[in-house]
Amino acid sequence: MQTTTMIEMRNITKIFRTEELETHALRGIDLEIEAGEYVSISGPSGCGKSSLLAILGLLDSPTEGSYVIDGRDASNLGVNARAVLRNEKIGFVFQAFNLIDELNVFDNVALPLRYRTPTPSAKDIERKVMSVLTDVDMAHRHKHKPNQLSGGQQQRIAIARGLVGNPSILLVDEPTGNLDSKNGDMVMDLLAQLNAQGTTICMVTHDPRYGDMAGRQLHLLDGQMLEAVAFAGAV
Amino acid sequence: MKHHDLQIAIQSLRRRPGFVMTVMLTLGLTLGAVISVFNLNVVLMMKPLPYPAPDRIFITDHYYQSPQGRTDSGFSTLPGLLESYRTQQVFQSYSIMSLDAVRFLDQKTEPKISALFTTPEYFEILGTSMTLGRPFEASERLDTHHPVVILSHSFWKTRLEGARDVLNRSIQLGDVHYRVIGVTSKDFRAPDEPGEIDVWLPWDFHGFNAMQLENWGNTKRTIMGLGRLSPAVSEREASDRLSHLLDRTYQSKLSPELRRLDRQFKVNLVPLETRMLGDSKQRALLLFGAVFMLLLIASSNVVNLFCSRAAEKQRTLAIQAALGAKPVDLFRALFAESLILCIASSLLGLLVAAWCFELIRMLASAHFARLDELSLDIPTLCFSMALCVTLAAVFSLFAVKLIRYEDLRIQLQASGKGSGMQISKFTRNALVTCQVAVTGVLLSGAFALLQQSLSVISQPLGFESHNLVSVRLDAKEGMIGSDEIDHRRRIMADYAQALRAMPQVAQCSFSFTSPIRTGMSTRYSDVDNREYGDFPINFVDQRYHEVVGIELLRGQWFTSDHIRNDDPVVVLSESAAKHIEPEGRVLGTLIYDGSGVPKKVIGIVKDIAVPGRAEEIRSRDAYLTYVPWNMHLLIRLKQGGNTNHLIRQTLADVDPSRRVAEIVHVDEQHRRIIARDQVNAGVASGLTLLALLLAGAGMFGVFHYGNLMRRFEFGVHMCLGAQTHQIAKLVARSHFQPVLLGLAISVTAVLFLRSWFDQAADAWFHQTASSLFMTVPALLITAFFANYFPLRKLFKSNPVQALRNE
Repeated sequence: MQTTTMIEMRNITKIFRTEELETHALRGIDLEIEAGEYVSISGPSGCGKSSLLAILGLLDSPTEGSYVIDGRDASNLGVNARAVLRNEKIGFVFQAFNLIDELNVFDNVALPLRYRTPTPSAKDIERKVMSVLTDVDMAHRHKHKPNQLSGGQQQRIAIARGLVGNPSILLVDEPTGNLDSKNGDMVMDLLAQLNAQGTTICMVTHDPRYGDMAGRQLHLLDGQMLEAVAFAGAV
Repeated sequence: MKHHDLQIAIQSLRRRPGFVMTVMLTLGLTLGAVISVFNLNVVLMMKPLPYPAPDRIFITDHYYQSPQGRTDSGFSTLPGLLESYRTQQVFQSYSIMSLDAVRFLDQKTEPKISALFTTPEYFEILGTSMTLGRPFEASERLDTHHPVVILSHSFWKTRLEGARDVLNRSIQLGDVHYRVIGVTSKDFRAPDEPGEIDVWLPWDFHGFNAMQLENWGNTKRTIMGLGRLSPAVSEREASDRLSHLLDRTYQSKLSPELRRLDRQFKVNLVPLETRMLGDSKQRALLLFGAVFMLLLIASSNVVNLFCSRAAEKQRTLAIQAALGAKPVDLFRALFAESLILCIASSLLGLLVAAWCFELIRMLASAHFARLDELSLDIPTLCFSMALCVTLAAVFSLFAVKLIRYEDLRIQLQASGKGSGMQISKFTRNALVTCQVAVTGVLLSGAFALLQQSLSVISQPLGFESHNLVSVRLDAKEGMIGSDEIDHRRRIMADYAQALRAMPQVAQCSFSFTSPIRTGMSTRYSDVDNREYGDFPINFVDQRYHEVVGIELLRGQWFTSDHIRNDDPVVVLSESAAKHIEPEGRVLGTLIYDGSGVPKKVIGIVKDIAVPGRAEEIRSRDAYLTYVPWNMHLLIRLKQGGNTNHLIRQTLADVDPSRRVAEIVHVDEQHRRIIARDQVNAGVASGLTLLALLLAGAGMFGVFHYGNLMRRFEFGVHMCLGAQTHQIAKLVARSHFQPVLLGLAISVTAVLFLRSWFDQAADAWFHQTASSLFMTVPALLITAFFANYFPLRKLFKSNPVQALRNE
């Protein structure tokens, strides 16, 4: 089977500098993620997971190195170009859900589409939003406000929001961190199901139980990639 | 409040010098303005005039009533005044007064000082207290001709060094030697009407000639009566009885020409307080409204600072709560801080107010009465204290509203991420709305004042004022006999001849006054006695238009024959002509003034604009043939340079006995006239800038705080691919809602106030509505920048930092 490289990182370095201190968050990371892959990144606190995820999600720029996403070089893009690429290629799921309290479920999920240029028609937005809400089994709650939902439900809404723009890759940051085990399991099952349907997922977690569910596990320590384990049949 | 609270508050504030300085400067400067204007209102509205039974003291003046209407009040006639002094029975005590300038010849510079010629009753009515000597008494009454003088306290101090042996000393004022019989006390404040006074002289020395004393048609603003009304007589009754009394004599003296005007002589009684204050009360109230708005703007900024301070102090408060502090203890802690700051600001405010008093006296003496009574008196100090405590309570209440006592424990338990206390969106929006609304009203007033002042400053005069010199010689002004007229004509001709012989002089002419001085005016009517209104007049000779440089548009200028024969002809400005006939076709038309002799219009000249005149008569000039009622010359120089001493010498060579009262370039006169408008423009600009800065700083603070609070939300939007312009739109939409609401409130308030004050307020207030065209864009631009800078800061930060709450 022919595979497509979705993410290609070469020698990625991230250094945080203050007047007195230089912190090397990432040291020469090389990473490739193929389309349809389910990758987990784990490591202890402060190892560089969040920095790597921020660069992967075009939320931050590397100090050095090159980054190509879905065939497009994202190493030296401006703020707005990165925003456009992020909107088109990347879906985010955060540990704290990051839903906007003032907006109802429908509007929260519709946000990525409303930032798209050209903006899809209202009918298209409605169709796509309701479709992903159905996928995560939350269509019946589309008029609710986030604070009217449980943690597990909120995370499912966040996943729906990550998927609505049909991204090339879903970046998931500690998706179960704020959930109890029952809701955590439900969310992880949903992610596995999405991956099985072809969604590329890159997940940051320090929970080995969930890390094992990914097709490939990457371990970070002191900003360096230590090992990569590929599980046969995951792709 | 406990001593302990104050100690902690002081220690805490010592660590925040920036916060303390910002609050103190913002509040101190604003409180200074508020306190000083409050005191102005106290003086004008609460303090009675410093005279016995002030509500029974009235000024009398005269006017003429005809079937077409009445003439302006504020003027008196000499025979009417004397007649009422001799025969009136409605006042317990009645005095007559005439204000004039006299030369104080005992000093080298021979300065002109202001003298009030009056009768002994004046001092009794006003209850004048004396530092030395006595007031006038029966021996100085009318027709006694005793040359005595009473000095004002300030004149005695400044001109005579406060000499204790001044009594019975002789001083020369004009041609007369007067014996000093008294010095008024420091506390005695003579009424501002008819003007400021240096010395009081007996009425007999007024210097009016017999012709003037018998002329019922010659009205003057500087003479008037002052009386204390009898308890049994009402104001209306007194006015009717005096009018009846004087009209009888007036009608008996009328010439046939004047009789055709069908006029009645009337006496107007005006309470002294009303005359002295004019519309000062209303102006003071408006000014108080303006500074109060400034206080609101400043307060909303300080509220914002206090709320941020409360948010900053939440951990300290949480520890205090954990150690057993009750909610009221926390309020006390916050109140202690705000009280200390408000007290310090009020003390600064009192200093600023003392300085503001001087500023008000310097800049606003033309607008307000009784300014010398401004002081930090008991009511003002009480007001300052009350304001200080109120503000402290308001600031701490706002701050304490942010603190939810039950949630304080979270501050100690949580890591701190995302658990910060927040000023609610409603409060933030309310702060911005209030600031914009109040600033909008304030700016409208300031812009209106600026507009009005700039229109006066930038108004072209309509003639070349450069190298034009106005020279006034010492001579009694007003009606004189034909002998004196002939005598003056001869001297003036000699002066003119001598001046024209000077190589520096191009030409010279005679006129009653300089072209830009606001001199006399008269009311003209047509043959059927229908009035055209008031026209400023100047008596000028045949060379005047050539010397001044006024273009003749139609008809002719005066000839030397017109001047010599004192022909009843008039030359009108274009505006004056159009006021009489919309097309300005008035050549040959006869117009009538109070004299009963019609004047024929023989020429129309181009307008000149005289700054300082009311807008509607600014260019409505009427020129009459020159009669030397005074001795004034206009000299056109060939080129610039200081030739004053040469002119002075030339005039002295012609007649060494006559002094030059004033020699001044018309340019300089113009500068003096517009100086007040320049100051007004400066004050209005300063107020505008201050209000915009305060509002801008306030909005910046709220917007910046709002952005910080929403940083997390913006981070989410950015993560989802929102571009900068989309975030900017999002931010602007939420920030501009309260701005637009504030603008709508201010526009409504200005329109409401305009209609409310429609009848009474100044012209400037009417301009406030049109100045909204400047106010709205100015505030929108300010709001734009107040929104832009926090937004720029937001964009500089990485969205991932927002999500991490870094």
